[in-house]
Amino acid sequence: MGISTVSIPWAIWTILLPLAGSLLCFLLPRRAALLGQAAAFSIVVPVAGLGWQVATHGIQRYAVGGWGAPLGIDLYADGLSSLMLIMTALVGLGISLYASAYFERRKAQFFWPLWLFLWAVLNALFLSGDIFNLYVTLELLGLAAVALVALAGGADALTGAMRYLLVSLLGSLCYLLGVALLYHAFGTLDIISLGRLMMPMPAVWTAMGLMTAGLLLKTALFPLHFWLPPAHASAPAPVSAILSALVVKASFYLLLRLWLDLFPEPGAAPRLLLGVLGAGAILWGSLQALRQKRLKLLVAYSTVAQLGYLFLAFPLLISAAWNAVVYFVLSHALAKSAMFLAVGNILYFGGHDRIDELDRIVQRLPLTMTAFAIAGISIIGLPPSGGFVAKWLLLEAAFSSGQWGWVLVVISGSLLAAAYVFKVIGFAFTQAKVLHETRAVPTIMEWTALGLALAALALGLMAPLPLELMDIGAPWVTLIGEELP
Amino acid sequence: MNWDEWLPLLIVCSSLLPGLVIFFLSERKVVARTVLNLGGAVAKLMLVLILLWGVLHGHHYETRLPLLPGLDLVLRADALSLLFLPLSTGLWLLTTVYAIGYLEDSPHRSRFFGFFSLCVTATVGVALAGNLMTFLLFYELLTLSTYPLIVHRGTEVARRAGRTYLIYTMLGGALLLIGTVWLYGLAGTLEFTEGGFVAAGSSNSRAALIAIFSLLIAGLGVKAALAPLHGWLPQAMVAPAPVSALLHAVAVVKVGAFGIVRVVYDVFGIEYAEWLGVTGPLAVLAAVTILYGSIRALFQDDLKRRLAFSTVSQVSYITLGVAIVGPIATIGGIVHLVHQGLMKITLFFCAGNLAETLGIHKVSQMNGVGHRMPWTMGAFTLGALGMIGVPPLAGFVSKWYLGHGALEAGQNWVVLVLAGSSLLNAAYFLPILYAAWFREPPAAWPSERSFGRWETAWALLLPPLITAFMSLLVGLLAAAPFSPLEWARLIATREYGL
Amino acid sequence: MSLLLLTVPLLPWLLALGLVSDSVYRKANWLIPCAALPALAVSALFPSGTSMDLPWLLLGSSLGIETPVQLFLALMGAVWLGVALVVGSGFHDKTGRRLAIFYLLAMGGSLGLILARDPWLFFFFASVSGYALYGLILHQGSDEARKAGRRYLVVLILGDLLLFEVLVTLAAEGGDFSTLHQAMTNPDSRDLLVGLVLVGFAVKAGLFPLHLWAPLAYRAVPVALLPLLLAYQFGQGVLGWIYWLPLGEVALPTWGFSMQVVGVASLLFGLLVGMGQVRARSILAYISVALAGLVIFAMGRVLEQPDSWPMMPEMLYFVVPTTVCGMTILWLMACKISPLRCWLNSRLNGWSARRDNILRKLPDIPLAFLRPGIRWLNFITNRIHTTVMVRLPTQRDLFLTWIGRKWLAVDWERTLNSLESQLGQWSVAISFLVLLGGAIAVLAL
Repeated sequence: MGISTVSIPWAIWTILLPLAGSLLCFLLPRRAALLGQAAAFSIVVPVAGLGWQVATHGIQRYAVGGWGAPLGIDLYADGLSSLMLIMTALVGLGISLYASAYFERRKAQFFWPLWLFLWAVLNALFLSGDIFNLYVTLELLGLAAVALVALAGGADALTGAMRYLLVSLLGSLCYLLGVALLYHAFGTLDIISLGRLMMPMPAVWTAMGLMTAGLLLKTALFPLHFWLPPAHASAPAPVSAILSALVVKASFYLLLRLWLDLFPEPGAAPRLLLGVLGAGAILWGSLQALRQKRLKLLVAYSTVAQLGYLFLAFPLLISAAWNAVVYFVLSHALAKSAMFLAVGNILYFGGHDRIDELDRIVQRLPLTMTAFAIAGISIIGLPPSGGFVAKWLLLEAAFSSGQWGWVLVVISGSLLAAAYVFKVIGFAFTQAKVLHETRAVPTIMEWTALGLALAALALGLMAPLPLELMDIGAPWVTLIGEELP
Repeated sequence: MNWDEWLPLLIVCSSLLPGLVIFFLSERKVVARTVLNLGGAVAKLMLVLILLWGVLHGHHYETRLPLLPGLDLVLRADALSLLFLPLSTGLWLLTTVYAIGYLEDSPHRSRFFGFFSLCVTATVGVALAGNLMTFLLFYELLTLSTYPLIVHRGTEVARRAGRTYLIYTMLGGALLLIGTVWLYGLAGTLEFTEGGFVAAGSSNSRAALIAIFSLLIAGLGVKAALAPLHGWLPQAMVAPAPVSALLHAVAVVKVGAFGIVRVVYDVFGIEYAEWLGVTGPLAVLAAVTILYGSIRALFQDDLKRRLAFSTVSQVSYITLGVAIVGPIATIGGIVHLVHQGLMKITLFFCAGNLAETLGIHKVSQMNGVGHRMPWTMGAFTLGALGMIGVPPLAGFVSKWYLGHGALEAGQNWVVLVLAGSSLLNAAYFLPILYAAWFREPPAAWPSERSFGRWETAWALLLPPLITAFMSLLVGLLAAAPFSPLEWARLIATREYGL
Repeated sequence: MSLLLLTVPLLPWLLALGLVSDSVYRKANWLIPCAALPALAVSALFPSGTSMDLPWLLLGSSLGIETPVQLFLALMGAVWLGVALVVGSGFHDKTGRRLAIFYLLAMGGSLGLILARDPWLFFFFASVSGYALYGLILHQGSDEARKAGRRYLVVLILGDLLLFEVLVTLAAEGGDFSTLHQAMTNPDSRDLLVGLVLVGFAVKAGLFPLHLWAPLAYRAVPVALLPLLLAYQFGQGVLGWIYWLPLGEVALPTWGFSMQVVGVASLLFGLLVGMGQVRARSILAYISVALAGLVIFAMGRVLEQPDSWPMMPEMLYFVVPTTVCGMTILWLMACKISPLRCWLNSRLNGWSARRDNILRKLPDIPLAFLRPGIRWLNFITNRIHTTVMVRLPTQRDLFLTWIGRKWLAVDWERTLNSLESQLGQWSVAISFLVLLGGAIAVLAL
């Protein structure tokens, strides 16, 4: 592993900048929106710098404060984590632009500090190299997210937030128990050192079960998804986008790291279990989405379904499948945030989100509807879009490992997704029986939704770039050759 | 040689860019929109002509952009695409003129023409696709861009029709996707090759290949309206007339048929497909579709529905020609791609004219309409007679080659199918002609609009006249150089390595 | 100069096209009879053997003219010219334009096919004029005309289909009549081809028992156009036989004999039934049937003994058009000179009513045999129709609505709802969590 030292520690700045922005916003609530946007734009620089470093020099490792691995805080950046950072930056930028027009001043002074803090924590999570730091970031992430959900006010949002809080704590607790078990057994917290020391023993398996279950709960894998739809649907639109696009991905990222870097190769059975749950999520989530009468709930259930795809890689366990899953994460982040923002626009415009009363939204909010449709294309997995590339890679992996069942699951998931997306689009063309008062949507909100959707589309046209980046130092590259028979 | 690499992409973009700009034009900017529309169409036609000229002078046009590791987006001009490309480009120009006339003063024109351009972009992309992946990409794009056109009117009926369309095409697309990925896994490549790329590495399991073939054909058969999969087509008739013309003659249905041609010739290779034993069932399926479509058409009173079922029947001629293994039938099938397009677009234009000018939607309202609109009905008559297969119209040439090819390949039953279909065609078209020309016109038409000097707006009248004349010309001058028939012959020669 | 051959079909067609425009129609309708002039000019002025290749047309074609055909062309041209002159002002009245257009289209086709040197071109011209003639038959728009038109159309399409099958079976791309004749000498395809050609043109020629359209059509067309039906029967049907059959090249005794039998039958039938007719037009119709029988008889003879061919062409090419011409002249006189018509009418009506009654039933006899069959056919098609078009779609619709109702049904909705809310209960969720963690740990062991 070629670890090079480069003069500027970009990775640290990716955490410090949003943290500083958050503090400033907290201290100067009147200027929160302006400062927040400035911070959002400035984060792009270190993220791009880190991406460039990783792309040209390979894996990066920083010891914060100068202490080494066992004691100090280590930041570790490979292709996967820098890709996650880029994704967060892209989505974050879009959400920041959107939020600047969405929130009135009273809400904005709470939103910006929380959001930038969440951003800093997310970046820290993607860059952390030891399991305890990961726990800390996970916990903080959960708390920030809960606070953001509660921002909407009202009984629904508070119930949703409360439930989300409990789930978040429960998940983190499980995770912490696993960390304690591992520390007790091996005396270190660094992932790479742990990975070297790891050996099959009951404590390890117990830790694995605990940590996985906790993370599954936080990732809202079926049948543990119950908290997600209310929380995501009741939050304000930018917050829903943050939760669906970024927050659930963080816990999945962690799971991915643990299973690939940390734990010894588990047998086929637990992997199959995760795959089956994923398939269940796809079908159940899509069916529920199809059944919804409210647009936001539909999109939230669609997230439940899409998260299911991420777990199909576990039984396949081929590098193509991992590529596919990471690609799913990227394209879903962009597409789903675009979708939530578009739905936010519709809600803002008509004051409701009942699907059968969409009432010619196509003509009245053309940009928003375009954003929704393009995001929908990516969610369905139609070409050319990020979702299609991901689905293609996944299908390819399923075919080459001869596991047919997953092909059917993926395809029926796409068809169901097409059904619920086009159900919405169809009603957007027709005239509703009930008329609603409307108010104009700020242009910037329409364009950010469209921009994110177009980014999801672009992801389908430039696949080689992210695919190359994610293979740099990726845990699964070493797995090639250990594929299933 | 840089130019040669970018020309195919330019051809695709020449409708994509105007389309995207049109989306952002306000409703009132009629002139700008018209200029963009026609400019895009003419530019595309010019580029296609340059391409044709270049190919004749030995240039090789290919655009290759990386899409996935190991899979590129390939746009290439080969013989088959050069048959389909001028057809879709030329007919697009006419349909655009027609649509401008047809949609005068109706709402949401920017949206309409935007998707209209996207639709043609997808069709041209399909025509130029150099591998199955690129084909799939544009095929799905076509599905998506036609959906808003079908639901354009925004009524409940339109929404339902759109839903039916999507259910069918999404299923078809899914099957196509499965087949493609599977094939990629087996063959390791997806590049279209004359004679088929599967044939080259024929160590693969036969059962798997048969399954892949069925998946691909079923996926494409949805758009090509093969018998049990045609249900969306008659329902999609709620769309405005230019859309129907586009669906039936240029874009959707044609793309399905074109895809079948591609799969049989350039993916599997006709001889390999025959060895797999899949061409026989395909021919039977096509024959059943031909007869079934004709029989259903017989009982429709709605003019556009009748034409829709007629399309179901006629497009399967292409499939039939492909599925009969033999160079002559191949010629017949491929050339019908062009011929059916010309004739069917004429019929739909005329149906649109009747609806727009006189408010006629049903066959039973067409009494004496030939006196009121002689030019339109003249074009309609040419189109209908061509469909029946009256010489020297286009339909005759295709039918002749199909029948001849079937006999050559020893499949005599096909001739009976052709004869039966001709009879049925006559049975559902001639009563229309009779009523239009020989019955007394009613005292008043359902809702008549006056267009001054001409029987209808010139933009509505000119396109059907041109296409009708062309359908006469391609039949009459079938043996002339550069006629569709000669192209088809060239393609068949290459495919069979004669 | 050979380019002028093209004007024979093209001039009438171009004129027909031009007539669509009002101003041309008003100014140039006197040109209609002139459209037949190129045919006369070609037959009079061109040396035998003039020909012209049109490689770009259809599958590559050529036009040409030879001695016996010249005469035929001249006579046919004369018939068309004569009819046009007789119709005269008929082209000017309310429906005159339509009449003129169909007339010119039919003229171009039927004069052009005389010059055709290959079956494809012949077929093309024949179809054009055949469909145009349909317009002429329907011209009067009466019930009778419609009925006649319907029957004519069925026959026309059937005949064209059969001939199309010939072209298809020919298994050659392009080539002239000799290619066809060659194929007819090949024992494998011979019988099929000859049979198809015979029946295909017999339909046009109105040969017994395929003549059923003829009496109706003769009754339906305007009087002045009657000779055109004759010209159609002989100029297309009979000429088709002459062109398409390998007369004098090969001996086909069985076919020859059967043709002679059919010829005699047709002759007898035409004469006997014709005599019993009351209306003069019907008489003409049956006489044409008899004449067709005569011709096929002669051709059957040639097919039986090929060496008798050399003296035949003159006979056929001469006798046939002269008959047509003669009858045309007779008819024109009858139209134009009313005393003559009166005389004819009185002669015809004077025959005894009793004999009429017996004989008038004759044409119904074949129909009487057919009737039960037709009834059965009707029954079966009705059955198929109701099953395929009514019952199956209804069933499908019922099925779909059933599915749709199931989909929307409250219990389905309730199941999903209650399951989802079950999953949302803390006790359930936590037990899932524990189970999952345990399962992963245990399975990994």
